[in-house]
Amino acid sequence: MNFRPGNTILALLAFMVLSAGAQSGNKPKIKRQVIEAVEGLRYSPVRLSMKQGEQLELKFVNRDPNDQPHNLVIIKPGSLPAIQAASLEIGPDSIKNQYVPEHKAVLAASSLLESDKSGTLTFEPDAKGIYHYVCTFPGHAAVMYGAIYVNQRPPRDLASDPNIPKMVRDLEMEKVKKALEVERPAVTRAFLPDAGPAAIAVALPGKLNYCWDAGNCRLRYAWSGAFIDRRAMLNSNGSKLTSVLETPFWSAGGGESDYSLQTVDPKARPDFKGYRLVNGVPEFRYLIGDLEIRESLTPFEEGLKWQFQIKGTSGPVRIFSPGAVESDQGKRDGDYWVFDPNASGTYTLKIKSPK
Amino acid sequence: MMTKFKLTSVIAICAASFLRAEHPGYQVEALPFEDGTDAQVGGIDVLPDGRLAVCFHHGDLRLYDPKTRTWSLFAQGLHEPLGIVTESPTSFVVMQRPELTRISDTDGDGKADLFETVCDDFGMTGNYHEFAFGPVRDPEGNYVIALNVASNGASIRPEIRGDWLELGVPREDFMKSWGSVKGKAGRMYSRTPYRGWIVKVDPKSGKMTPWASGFRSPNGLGYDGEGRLYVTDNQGDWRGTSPLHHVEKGKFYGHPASLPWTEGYDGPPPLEIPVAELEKLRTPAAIWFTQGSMANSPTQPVLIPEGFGPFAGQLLVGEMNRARIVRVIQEEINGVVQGACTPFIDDSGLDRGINRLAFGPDNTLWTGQTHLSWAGGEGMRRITWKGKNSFQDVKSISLTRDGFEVEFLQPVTPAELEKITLRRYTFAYHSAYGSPQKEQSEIAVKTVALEPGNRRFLIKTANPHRKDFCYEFQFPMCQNPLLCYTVREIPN
Repeated sequence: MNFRPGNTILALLAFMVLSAGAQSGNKPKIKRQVIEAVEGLRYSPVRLSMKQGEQLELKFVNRDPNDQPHNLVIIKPGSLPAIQAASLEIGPDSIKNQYVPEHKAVLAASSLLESDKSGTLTFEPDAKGIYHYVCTFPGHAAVMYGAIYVNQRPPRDLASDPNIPKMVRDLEMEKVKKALEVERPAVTRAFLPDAGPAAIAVALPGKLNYCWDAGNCRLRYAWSGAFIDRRAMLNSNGSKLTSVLETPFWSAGGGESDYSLQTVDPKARPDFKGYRLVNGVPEFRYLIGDLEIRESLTPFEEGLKWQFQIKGTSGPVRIFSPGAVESDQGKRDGDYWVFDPNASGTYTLKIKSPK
Repeated sequence: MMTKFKLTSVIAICAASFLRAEHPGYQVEALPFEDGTDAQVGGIDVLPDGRLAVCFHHGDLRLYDPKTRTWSLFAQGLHEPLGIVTESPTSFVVMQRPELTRISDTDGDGKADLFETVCDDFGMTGNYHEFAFGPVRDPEGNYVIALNVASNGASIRPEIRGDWLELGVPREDFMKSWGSVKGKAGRMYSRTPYRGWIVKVDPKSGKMTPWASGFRSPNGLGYDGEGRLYVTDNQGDWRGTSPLHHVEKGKFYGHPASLPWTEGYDGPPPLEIPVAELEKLRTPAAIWFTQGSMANSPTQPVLIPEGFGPFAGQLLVGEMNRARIVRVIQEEINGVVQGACTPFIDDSGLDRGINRLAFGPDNTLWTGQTHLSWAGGEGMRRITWKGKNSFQDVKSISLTRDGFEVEFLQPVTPAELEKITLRRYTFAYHSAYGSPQKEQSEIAVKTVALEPGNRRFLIKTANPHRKDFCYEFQFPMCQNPLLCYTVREIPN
């Protein structure tokens, strides 16, 4: 490759000509976009981003296979509830107006399209904000809408975007959960909700999960289904909480100064010693005074088998275990199960999980 | 269009060849990672057989075999592991955020099944900046770890571990009215035990002994060949520029947040102690890394072994903000450790964010990069000595009563000596973030050859030395012209 000065001059000239072309006039930059109405009263895509000063040139195509008519109406930020309500009021002019409500929040609208028909509309936002597009055919607006982010960054995940329909969010969440599913069993240490800073999340076979707190050596809560979402934490300096993907079916409640296991010495604090993986499932080890404790949770048909092995017990063993916790061995005393010491040192409880 | 294409191609080729410029003495190669791997490295150690044990921000502990260039998973789910020490080919001690853990494979399947808590006797508020660094082993075999203070970039979590130190700001206010108490908390705060401390841990009993205080963000611990412990810290409050500290038992290294955890402490809250009092208490940095030109966030110091070129016995330190490894030339004057720092390798295939360094038994240097939410990079590099001493740099430098004694790797011509420049400046010790270079002045120099061969010279300075000043040289004939010497003591 030869570098000749002539080329530079030609290139500079070409650049100058191109620049001059771009600067003439004050026409907005055109942003072209196709939005389709798809099966299940949804728009695809369900959100867009653009900048103020751009003109959106939308092609709207009705691809709904269920022979449903749809329109696409762009409305002012914050007016979605009003337009949803207005779309249900059918008046004498509704059909003539393509079911677009006569409302000051309407900024642009397509005509009502039958399946496989398409139309165009343009939109030039005059301020930053979140503008919705919505189908105002009666009965659709409650679920069929999308969002245009103008000079504003949308939440990273569709699953956590409050400006799109819940149905779409839920579908996305299902995808997220599927993508985040782990090979079970798995043990992950992280900052978890409703636990101390030294928390441990465990995924067991059978889609059962629990949070165990190594700070005060106790089970905090259990949930079934998808495990945890660490993405926010992994994409930060570690400050972000790791989220638990389902609502716990059981929780011990309480805070940092509560302990599960109460022994003869009520003042003794547990001292965490770690865990051993038995077929991948952790068996936690800790000391309370002179006692050596092993605690494990394993899945069984009805939920979690919660087992303590205690070396050195001399008095009754009291385990704080509120709610749907059963045992074949001991006595229920309020929120506690109470066991007389036995020769094997093994005390078993069962936390029932919902079917 | 054709002409445009040619022009940009030429520019692209020039830029690429500039960035790729290879170091004449050292080979830098990148390690392979599977696509999609979040290769942010928290710790590296090398096994006696040459394999690497590496822990990652995403929580894995993986082993790398340089012979087959393959990775295998040893353990996962670790909480921000930031350091690792091999105890045996099947057992590693890892510093996680909440604890120092021994992670072992006891059934021989190549995967960890035993996670023993060696030590978790320090507090945590759940603040993101409470990183835990290390471990390194002291000459007696104890583990040395460093506990970062919390940052008022965030508050604490609803539940904490360990005792709470109120210092006039109740814990409820940290939770309920953070906006209004943020200022009172201190830019970096230590509200649970031993935050801002270096502590030692007995490897068998796990017993923790507080060792030295006054640290801010000590992301780098290492020993030199004399068994001296060095710890880096990051520019910020009470850190005019990033320092390298020589750390000894019982001493205080300047960041006051950690002081109340001193045994028997009955002084005022740290932010109320007059700076003059703190000045008396503190041990200043052994070496300053000048912010902006040398290093902005220095990381792990490692001892250079024999067989890795001409600098054995000196230290290498990683740097987060640029693709650079810094070299430290330490010496002891009047019983005080001080010395110089200079870039060792710039670019040449390095990435930014060099967080961890480790030498293998074959004198290969391995680096691991990270960034989290700061400047940095990803991945790992393998750095080897090419075996030929063909480049020019300062081999060593030592402070004399009236100048500096400098040894170069190659002979220096009189014309090159003429081009040496020197300036000096100091940094403020105060609660504000960082410090400008203060009391800057140019220093005239005169060189005198110390022996035939034109490699060793006395660089005489026109002005008498000043303690607690950074002397910044430019040696234009060197691969790395910049060299800074921090004067603490002046030879008697």
